[in-house]
Amino acid sequence: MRSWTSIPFYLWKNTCNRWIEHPVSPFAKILLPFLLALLGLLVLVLFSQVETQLRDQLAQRDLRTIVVNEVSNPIDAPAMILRSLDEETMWVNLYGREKVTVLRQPLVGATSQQSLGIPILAYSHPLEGLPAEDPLQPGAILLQKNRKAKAPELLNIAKTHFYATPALMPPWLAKQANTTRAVAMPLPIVMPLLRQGFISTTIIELPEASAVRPAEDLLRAYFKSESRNPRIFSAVEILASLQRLAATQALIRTIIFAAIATILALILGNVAMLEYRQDAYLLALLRSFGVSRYQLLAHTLMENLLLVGSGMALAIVAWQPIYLAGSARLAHLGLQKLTAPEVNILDFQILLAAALAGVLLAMLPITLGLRRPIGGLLQ
Amino acid sequence: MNVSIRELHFRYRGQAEPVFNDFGFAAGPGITLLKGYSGCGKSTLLRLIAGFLMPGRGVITTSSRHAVGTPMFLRHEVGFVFQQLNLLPLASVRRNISLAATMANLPASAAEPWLEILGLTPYADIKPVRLSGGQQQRAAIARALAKSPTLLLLDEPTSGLDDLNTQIIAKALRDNLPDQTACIIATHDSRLTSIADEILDFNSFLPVEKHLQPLD
Repeated sequence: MRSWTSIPFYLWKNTCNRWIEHPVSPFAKILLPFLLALLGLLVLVLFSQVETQLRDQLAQRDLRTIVVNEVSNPIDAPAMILRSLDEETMWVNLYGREKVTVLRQPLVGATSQQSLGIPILAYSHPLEGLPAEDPLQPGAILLQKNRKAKAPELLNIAKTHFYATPALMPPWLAKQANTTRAVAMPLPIVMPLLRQGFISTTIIELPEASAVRPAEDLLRAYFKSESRNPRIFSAVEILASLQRLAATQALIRTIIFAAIATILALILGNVAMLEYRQDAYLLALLRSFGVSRYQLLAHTLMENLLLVGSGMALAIVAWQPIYLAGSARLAHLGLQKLTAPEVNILDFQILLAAALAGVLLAMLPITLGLRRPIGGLLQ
Repeated sequence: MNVSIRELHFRYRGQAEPVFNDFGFAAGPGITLLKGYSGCGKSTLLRLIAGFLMPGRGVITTSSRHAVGTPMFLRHEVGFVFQQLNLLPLASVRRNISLAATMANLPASAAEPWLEILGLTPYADIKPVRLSGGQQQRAAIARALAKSPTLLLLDEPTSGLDDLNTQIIAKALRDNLPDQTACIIATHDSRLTSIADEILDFNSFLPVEKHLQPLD
């Protein structure tokens, strides 16, 4: 056995012996990074989930589209229908007929033999993607995200029966609608139902994404002057939320990195110092044979990396089952069950980098200790 | 190996009085005995020569191509036996000796003749903790010699040992020391005087009051 293998071999033997004599030390070196990494991952996964939700919302929306949603209760509905029609004309004049779509949904839905509460969408002008209608015999169209039925379906709307022709829901509507089925009907037919309350959805498509923010500001100003507070959605808001989230995420990642590195450095540094005191005589003896300080430091570094790395790896492997088990427990208690989360690879890298930084910082006391002259230790 | 010390100044941290002040010393191949009262600085001088302690001022030079105190100097040139028994506790006697040999780029089998010479063959595979004080001291000397050092430094190698152990050690040093090796022994054991080529008596040049102060 040559010196480059015999000395590390002896050092590992000594380390294993120390672990057996004082098992608390290696156990603490594994448990501490495990718990810190687990905590860090659970915090980071929350951000990841919010980010996923926002990105899902963003994927559903066109960057150039603004959607305005407003609910009119049965008392205000008769007046609001007229106001809504005027506003539609106003938006059409402002942005163009083909860029503005207004759908009005009565608070009551249609029922069929298969399903109840199918939303009714009243349109005031031909909708893009829908089959052309016979103007002399206007009727209902049963829009489906996945067209299954091909024959007209009998619907009951406020005790009146209609045959609805099935059609595939146009993609632009499928993006906005939260339902798999809807009934599209011309506005005059639905008007009596709208007087009992309705939800108005105005979809405005702008020529470019940069026009969304001014248009949204204009809409907000208009509705504020009308003392109304409809919900206005646009990708701009989501993008802004994503930017805010990214800034917060960066801050949290920095805090987690610093916290893990500091805690590991302080605790591992202290443990390593105690171990160094225990081994100081042996290390000095090995140095007296000509073993360099760097070789001894490398061994200590390897030992700490092995233990801390094991703790981190354990956390990376175990966090998802722990998270899901906790989530299932919450669901059992009646709280919302969280879906299987995904963690950004960057978050894993941050945790590993923090662990490495902690381990390297923890080497400082030993580095200083190994600078002491051998003659001061050996007698 | 030649060792030369000029204008050496050394004092321990926290102590006002220096151990050495403008001290000079030279040693060549052969056995040099450093004699003197306890605490007069014999052990400190050995540590300074090996580079285990750094002098405040002065120059310590050797004929080695490696600088004093560097890992290469300690690996290839120096064999050091400490006053206290400094064997690796988890390694057998044989491993203790072969480890030192491999550090000096010698084969592990270099340990075998020294086990024989110092009468350690029956104990070769047991851990140092099961050896007597004399056997441990012999193992420490075997470990230092197995490196074929050009500078052998022994700090009180026979302190507290019986005559038999002392004889084994003295014979091993007298008969097996390579020609070019400088062996410096710090001791107040007069039984080793017979193997010395040169004796340096610290008592002769250090003031009497110095002898009464513990210096290290």
